[in-house]
Amino acid sequence: MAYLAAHPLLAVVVPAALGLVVMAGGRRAVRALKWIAVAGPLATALVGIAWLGGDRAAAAVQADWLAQGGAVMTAGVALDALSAVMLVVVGLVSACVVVFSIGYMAEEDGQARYFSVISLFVGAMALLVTATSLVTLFVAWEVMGACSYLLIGFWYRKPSAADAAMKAFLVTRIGDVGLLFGLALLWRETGTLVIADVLAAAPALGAGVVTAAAALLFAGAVGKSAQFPLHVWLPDAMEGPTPVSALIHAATMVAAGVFLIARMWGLFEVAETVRVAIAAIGAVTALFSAMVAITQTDIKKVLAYSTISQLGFMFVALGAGVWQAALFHLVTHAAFKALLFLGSGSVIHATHTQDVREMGGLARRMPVTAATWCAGALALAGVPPLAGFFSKDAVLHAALGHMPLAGWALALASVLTALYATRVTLLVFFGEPRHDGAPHESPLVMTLPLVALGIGAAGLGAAAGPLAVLWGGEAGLDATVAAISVVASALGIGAGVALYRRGPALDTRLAEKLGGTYAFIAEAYRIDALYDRAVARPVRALARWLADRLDRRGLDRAVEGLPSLAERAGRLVASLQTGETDLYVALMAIGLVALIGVALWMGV
Amino acid sequence: MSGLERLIPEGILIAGAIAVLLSGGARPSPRAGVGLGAAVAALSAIAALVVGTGEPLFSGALVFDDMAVTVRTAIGALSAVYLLWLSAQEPGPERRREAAVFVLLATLGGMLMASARELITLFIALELGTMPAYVLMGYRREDSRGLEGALKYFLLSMTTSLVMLYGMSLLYAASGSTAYDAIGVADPGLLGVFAVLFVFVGLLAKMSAAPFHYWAPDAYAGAPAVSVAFVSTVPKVAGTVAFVRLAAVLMPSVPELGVVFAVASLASIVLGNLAAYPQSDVRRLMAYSGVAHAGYMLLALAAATPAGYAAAVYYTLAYAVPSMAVMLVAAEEGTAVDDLAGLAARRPRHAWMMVAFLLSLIGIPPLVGFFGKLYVFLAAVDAGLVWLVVVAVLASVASAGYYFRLVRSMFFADAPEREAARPGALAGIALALCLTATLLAGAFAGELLGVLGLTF
Repeated sequence: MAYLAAHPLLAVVVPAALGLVVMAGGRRAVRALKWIAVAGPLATALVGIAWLGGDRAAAAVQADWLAQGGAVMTAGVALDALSAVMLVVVGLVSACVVVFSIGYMAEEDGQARYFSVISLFVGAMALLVTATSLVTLFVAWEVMGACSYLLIGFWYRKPSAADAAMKAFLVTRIGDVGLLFGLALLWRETGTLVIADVLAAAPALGAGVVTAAAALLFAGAVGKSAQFPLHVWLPDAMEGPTPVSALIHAATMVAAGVFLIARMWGLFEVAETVRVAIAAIGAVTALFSAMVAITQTDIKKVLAYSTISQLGFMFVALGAGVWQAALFHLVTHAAFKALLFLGSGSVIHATHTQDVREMGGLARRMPVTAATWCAGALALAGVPPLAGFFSKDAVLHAALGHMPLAGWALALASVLTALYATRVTLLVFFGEPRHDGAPHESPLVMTLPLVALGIGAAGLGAAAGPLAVLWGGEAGLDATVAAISVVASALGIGAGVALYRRGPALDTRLAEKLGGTYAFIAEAYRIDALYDRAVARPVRALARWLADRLDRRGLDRAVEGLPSLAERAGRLVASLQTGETDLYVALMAIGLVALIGVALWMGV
Repeated sequence: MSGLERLIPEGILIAGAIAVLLSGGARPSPRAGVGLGAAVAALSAIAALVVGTGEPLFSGALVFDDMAVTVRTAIGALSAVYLLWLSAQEPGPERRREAAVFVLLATLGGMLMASARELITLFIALELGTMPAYVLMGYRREDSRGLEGALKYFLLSMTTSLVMLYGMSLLYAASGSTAYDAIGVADPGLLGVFAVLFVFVGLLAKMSAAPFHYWAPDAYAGAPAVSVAFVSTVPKVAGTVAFVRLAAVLMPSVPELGVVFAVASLASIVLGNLAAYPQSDVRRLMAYSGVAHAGYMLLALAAATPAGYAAAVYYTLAYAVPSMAVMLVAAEEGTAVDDLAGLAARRPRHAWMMVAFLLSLIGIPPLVGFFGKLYVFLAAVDAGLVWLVVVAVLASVASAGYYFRLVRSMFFADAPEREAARPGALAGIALALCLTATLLAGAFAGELLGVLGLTF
């Protein structure tokens, strides 16, 4: 174990190497190799466990990577309290996802691709959390983005999956631009991108620089963690296989944004303006996407909006200045959200539908899935003594203490969270069956990961104390906050039971009563359509206009298809005389004159 | 024989070109001829590496510094990969043995261009590199569109060459010399500014930078994709070195050049990336993408620092490899974006390789294109061109849109039923070599840049 703790690079290399092995093995070998792929995330977790369980000595691998002139960019990985915990969470949740996938993907084509990309993805996430320099972090960040593109678009023959993958990639790239500019700014101001050095230099920077850098890094986090206004990719990303959703939207990719801010805390600590913005965006996202989650009929879409909302909770805690609370919630959320996604996968596997209106009464037929799902849903709703209660309490405590407005928004969002969690649980597992066929419990290879995650979702509240020791935060419940939290959960669950006890009829009644408003919420406030109209279409129109003006394709078309050589020769000359070539020469002459003008204007 | 051994790579190319040309008589197989050409190009690359650096030849007309060695090796290797691919096509393009000869001669021109540090030498090397390209672009005699494109390319290229030659004569008039060391120190004055701009117009047009890019989309769209793959990449690497050597000498005496390059860079990046969007022909799309990439290269030049010059050359190399590979796949599959439809189902390995090439062209780490852009942007930011970098970064994000159209097409469900292209195994190896370079060259970015940055 000491060896593992002293070699943090193993957490990255083992899954990545296994990924390459699986890919090299190809279609036939994957039957055996996919079991070996489980070892990748387990190795990642073991490195973290070894460090936490050992003497916690500093273990780092550093190298001067990209030397350019006098400037050196250092690349490296290291373990500390933050990265070790993240490695454990990432490794264990990913291991559950890989085991579950062995059952879930058993009938699919392209399994070699699936398991190798998942392994690479885990390696990238491990690199991200252990990175000691922002360059390393950025590379890991982008590799993960590319892997998520491949995973979301796994069923690439389906146009909607290909589109969703592209959308996830492009929308998160908008945030990445911010991140890249942030890195450039920090590089310019501090002359280094080693995280420790940047943070040491941060307090001495000017207020404007600190605010700008923090805001730019936050933009990257907004994209990756699917916060308003860049959240639009996440619901579409449900086109990927369900275990992929569990991987990307629980422990890994979406957590990267929250992690980035915690990692760069020395910078965000002094950027108070930006923290207010973080809390505001987090609160808005948490509240409004919880509302959307209530209206969804696709079980995965409910979980998608729930994920966006829960990430909003974490961002409010970050904005309030208590990153430990945000990370604690990240840890518990990783467990119970992965559980819920895998549970939904088990249900979809059995019923071959994602529509909750076509489910119902599954608890009798799928007892293990139902029991573990309930543990996850109750944890999501914040019912004591499950894990979600403790971490949500920490978040609420932080928010109410430092930013009361955001805190009360979260309290309201907690009510809605309990409501949609209850709704989806009742519609899927209880009441009268509304499906044809005879769904049955999933095989052991799928239920075992559910049980493992269920234990985590139930018991991770006990981690509050040790984590507080590790990260230097405060542990223990505040009576007032706990009371608010319990009341919120009770209200939400009570309302949910009262409204949805009899099945999904209420949805239709609400839709009729509220008309346009309900549809407006159910379509997630039509933000997608707005983006299409305001951004995508004008850009496309401009590009087409430019191409028409600058690219005289029409003339080329006119010259197609005449037979005889003489005619062709004639037209060859003719086409040169129609002015195309003259025009180009004239345009180039104008360009030359313009450039000379620029040079003269600059003053000779 | 003092120092002439440094010209062994060029000698190998000349001898090899003649051998390939004559190989038709003894052995009728064009495949073998092209394969011989690939071996010759590879040998010249190895020779360039082995011979290494040394003192300049011919009173400084040809230099053999680290940059020359690196770029000559790279050009030779790129040509070798290209010819390797060409030799494996079955049934191959017609008269491809002759095409291999032209490729070797163009490679010779490119190698000389990478070494040239004297105006006349530069001009001769440039024309030696471009003349074979005219022939390659109009290679299908019976295709009137191809001939028209080639003729247009020839006329426009000649016009810019003449403007350039005029500028060179003015430079000579001003300084009394054609050696770089002498023209650099001359006091420019108004005449000097005109002269320098005229010279660079020729080079800007060769690089297909806006506003001198008009020839590229028409010429590429008229030419066979096989030819475009070579003409749009390898000569540009050499052109960038020529650009860098001349700029390093002239920019200190004519500082306005920085602004000129910045303006041309901005125009190229914006126009290239936008105009590429609606294209339905891969050759046209890559032509505009080439305009945009010329813009990034100019951005590094506008920085006017050694780091910028090194970044410019590294960027062109980082662009040339995946760009050539994309065009080679298009040459196998068909030149319309729609021809790529269903490639993932027909030839999954090629489709995934294309994804890697396109991601590199967008600039996604850890592929080589990312490091190319990173160094360009770092150099430009260090030189204070922050706003230009902001535009360039935004444009490079926007570029993901049109590259992804190719990805979409390859992976789109409703592929027309058609026969998969079946080139020989060597073609796959050539593409795999490009893939290896795309994947791994980023890791050696520091070393390469160190070499490129030492001298210019």
